[in-house]
Amino acid sequence: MSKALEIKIGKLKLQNPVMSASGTFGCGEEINNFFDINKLGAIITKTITMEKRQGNPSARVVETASGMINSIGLEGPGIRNFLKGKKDFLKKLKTHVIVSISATSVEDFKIMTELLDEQSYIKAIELNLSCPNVSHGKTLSKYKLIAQDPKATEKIIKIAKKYTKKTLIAKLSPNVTDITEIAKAAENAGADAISAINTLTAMAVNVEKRRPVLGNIFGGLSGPAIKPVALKMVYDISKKVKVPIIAIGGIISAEDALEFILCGASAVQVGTATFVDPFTGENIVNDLEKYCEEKKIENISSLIGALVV
Amino acid sequence: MKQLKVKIIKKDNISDSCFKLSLKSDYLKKTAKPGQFVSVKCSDTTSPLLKRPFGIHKVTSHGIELLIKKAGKATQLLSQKKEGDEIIVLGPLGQGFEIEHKKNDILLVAGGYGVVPLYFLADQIIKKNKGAKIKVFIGGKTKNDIFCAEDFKKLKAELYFSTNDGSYGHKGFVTSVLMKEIVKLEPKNCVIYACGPNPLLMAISDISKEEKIKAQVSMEEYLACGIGVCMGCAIETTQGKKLVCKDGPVFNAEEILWKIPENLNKAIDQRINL
Repeated sequence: MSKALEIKIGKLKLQNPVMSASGTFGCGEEINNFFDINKLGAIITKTITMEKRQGNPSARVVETASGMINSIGLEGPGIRNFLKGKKDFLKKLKTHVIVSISATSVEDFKIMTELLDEQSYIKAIELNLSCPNVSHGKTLSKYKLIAQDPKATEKIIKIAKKYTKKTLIAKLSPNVTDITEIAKAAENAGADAISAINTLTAMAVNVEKRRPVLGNIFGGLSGPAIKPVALKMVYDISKKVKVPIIAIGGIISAEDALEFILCGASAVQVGTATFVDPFTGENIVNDLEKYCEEKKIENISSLIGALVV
Repeated sequence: MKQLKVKIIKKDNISDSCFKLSLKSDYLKKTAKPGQFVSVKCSDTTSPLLKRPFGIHKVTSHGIELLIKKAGKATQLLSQKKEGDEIIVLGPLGQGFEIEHKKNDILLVAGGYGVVPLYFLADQIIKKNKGAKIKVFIGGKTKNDIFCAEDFKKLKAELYFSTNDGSYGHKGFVTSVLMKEIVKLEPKNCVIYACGPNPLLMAISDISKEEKIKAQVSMEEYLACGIGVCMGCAIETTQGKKLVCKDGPVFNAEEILWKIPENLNKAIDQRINL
């Protein structure tokens, strides 16, 4: 494989800038039945929480115009069961394993970071500070989400930084007045990279029943519908921070990925598109490779922020 | 399970709101089990975005057949496909019905389009259990919601019909017709396989419990990925959350923890009135 797609995120050297987005890929086992997930630059697991979580009541997904709303609510086995159950599979992977975590207290963030730090096969941690379907704990912030509060964002990243030397990624929420303010706080606190954006809070209505479609009433909007919003946010963040940005938001093709890279992203995550076509991640890697070959681009990083305005 | 590009070799319009697609695929023909489903990409654009799940209706000499209701934009677009067109299909997905080989009184209960997987099941049961006596109970809102009667007749199944408005068969719910037959049978020899809207499946669970008859129900939920990664289709069971797409869609009736629907009392009132 050519080196045209190699990029760096924190301490990690990625063979290409394409990753799976947390919550859309499980831990990779299912998608590995379709293509060798080692072809991706990295995989990011479903967000892991301290304890087992049941998630929200059904319905938990609904399609909307060129997108979907989910309100899964971070259902999962808890970190200890995750480490026990997924270790064998994740250890064997040649691609980088990035574990996404979320918690409702500083203490839990600390414990989880420590637990993950002990695992050599885990190469980076993505702090999910922005899941719209859970409350991130009243003790942490007066806001529902950590990523809505620059001070809380800083606090959590500093704690995580203290307990691990692994690359730390802060995943931010678009549900804020000014995402660059949060991104700066994350950078100041020591985040090695910023993932943006998580889903936009949203709802869907069933007129016949005069009820919300989702059991949780609200959820997070994802898919191509949010791409223009994500592009603008990535562009804005790139003007304010120096750490690499990992773009998320409706990416379904190499062209989408390139748009984000031109707007300042160093890498991209594929989320909802994996539901539409499990091969999306692999296709984007292949098409980016072709693109670099055709355009005689030595390394894709030359395109980062290369938007002409 | 694979994602395949398959050719539509035959398309039949059954009615204004319903059509059949016959798909060419050796793989699906060989691997599909009754109760499993496929997910179909219905448009080439991002609208609609996600694939749509359809129960496998038949296995043919060339592949599989789907019976599809035009329910929204996705199925409307799919209905415009022509013979010779190719579509992207992911499948077979999920866990299908488990055929109870030792039970001879087979009770298939369908609400509306619930007949879709039950036909495939009946066909397989007949091939595997020569002693099987199949009774098929089909219920719908009106006679326009009753499908596949002719197909089941060819399998020599006994047929029972009900409609809410009485326009075809018994007036009322399909479960009342089912109960009239159940009392004539020995519960130990019976098994119920059901597919249809949740209130019907919930009633089947009650009947299963009260009459001590094993029942398997095929559940429906909104799906996003269809392969167990998005966790969107989780339902409550006696063993915790399970995914309709991966652990189901067919479950033992006794394992489902039903949510009492808001209109349950209304439904019960209706049952009493009828």
